[in-house]
Amino acid sequence: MIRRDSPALRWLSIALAFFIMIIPMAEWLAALRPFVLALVMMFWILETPRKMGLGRVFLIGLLLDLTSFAMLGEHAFRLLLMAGVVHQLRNQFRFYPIWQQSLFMLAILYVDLVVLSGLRLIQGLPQPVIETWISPVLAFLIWPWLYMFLDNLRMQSRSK
Amino acid sequence: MALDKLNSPQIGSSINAWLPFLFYCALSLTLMLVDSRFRISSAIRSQTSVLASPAWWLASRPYALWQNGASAVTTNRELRRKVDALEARQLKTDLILQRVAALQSENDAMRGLLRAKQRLSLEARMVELININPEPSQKRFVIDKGSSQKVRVGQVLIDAHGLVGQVSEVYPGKSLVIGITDADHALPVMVARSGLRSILFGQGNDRRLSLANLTPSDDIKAGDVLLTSGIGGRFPPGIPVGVVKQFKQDEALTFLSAQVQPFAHLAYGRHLLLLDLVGNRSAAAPSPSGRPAMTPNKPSFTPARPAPASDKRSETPVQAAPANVPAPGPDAEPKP
Repeated sequence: MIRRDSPALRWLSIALAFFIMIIPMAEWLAALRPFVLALVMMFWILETPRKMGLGRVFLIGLLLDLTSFAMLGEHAFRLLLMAGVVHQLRNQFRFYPIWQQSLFMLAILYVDLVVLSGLRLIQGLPQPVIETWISPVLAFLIWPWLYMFLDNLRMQSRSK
Repeated sequence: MALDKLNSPQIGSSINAWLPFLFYCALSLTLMLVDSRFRISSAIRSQTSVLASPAWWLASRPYALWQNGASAVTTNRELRRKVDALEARQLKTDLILQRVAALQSENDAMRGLLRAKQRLSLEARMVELININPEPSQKRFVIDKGSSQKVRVGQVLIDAHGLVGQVSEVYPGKSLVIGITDADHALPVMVARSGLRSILFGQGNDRRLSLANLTPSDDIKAGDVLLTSGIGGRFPPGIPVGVVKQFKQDEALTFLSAQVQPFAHLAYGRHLLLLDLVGNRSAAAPSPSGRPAMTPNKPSFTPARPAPASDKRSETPVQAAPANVPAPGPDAEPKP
């Protein structure tokens, strides 16, 4: 029997990650802020791919662009690229041990920073500050805990 | 959602499955292109600010809570010490202010003799920072006053130490401020000691501004204080901006650039002062097209606009005159 996930947990976690992205912080802290929204989004793509399609990813990215004063479409494009890769690799990815998943996240977030840097270069906008390049390492450290935490919550909400 | 039915969970299994991915990528790239050309995001943002405002408010809560919590645990003794320090400072500023009042009346009389126009008085109101741009290289932030509080594009913000920035977009109840340290910001300034005028550019760094294209013969040295020159009519003249720190020669060895440290404490505090010009509308109002004279995205410097012919002469902006040269009287006014 297939139990249905409740959408509440999914949207709550997305909303929380969204707020973490726009909370005002001291400058050095803001630069180190990992792309939590991307991590949470990728978690839900891995778990419930049909509920986290590219259309929704695009809309979430657009909302983040509007509330964070970024160039319109910038976050949307970055999230779409990551979502595309994870959708593609989903079947293999789910059977990776968790530390390999973390390594994968590290790699994908570095690629994302390169993409961001390229987009900024094309548009003539200032490059991301140097500390930003440390933020994927933090994401790498966060991923196992985030994965286990969300997975646990998800199992609990399903078993009810 | 209808959009999601298009997507199969595994793209790459067939060429059709790639189509939605390519479609959304193309869509976001097009949006970026259109936005960088036509700046549609500010228009959309001002339309949707009703939706974004609660998000900004919510996102600013942790910081506000932190600050309130910090003030809740300050002890009575600490507060007393603070009050004492503030009272001592108030005495000192009162003394200075008395002297300034005398100087002001003297200056007014002399300007009267020279038939120069009187300077405008400034009034300030307190505004609160609601949110800052999460991207550290951009120095933009939201304040809690907007078009419903009669905030206009181009109004100037200062803190206790110096110039902070200007209002660049106005929404109902909120406005977006661009800081002088933003990489897209340019500001006409003047060296307080020698009167040398130049343009100060932001660098995307809170502790550094850049004064470019100086020649070795320019009268400027480390330690010089920079004030707003008032040229361009956007910033009132005489607001302290920063202090010159060091010089750097460019690659061609023809020009120097100076690094300037801003006075304003841009990374600290939640309250700023928004300056209102009193008794003058033409200077602070946006240009007729509705766009600011110096758009934040174009680091270009527009010279003082000639006053529209319909304007009364008494209302022409006096900030456009360099501070130490008396403005020409009404009869000497150059034709626009």
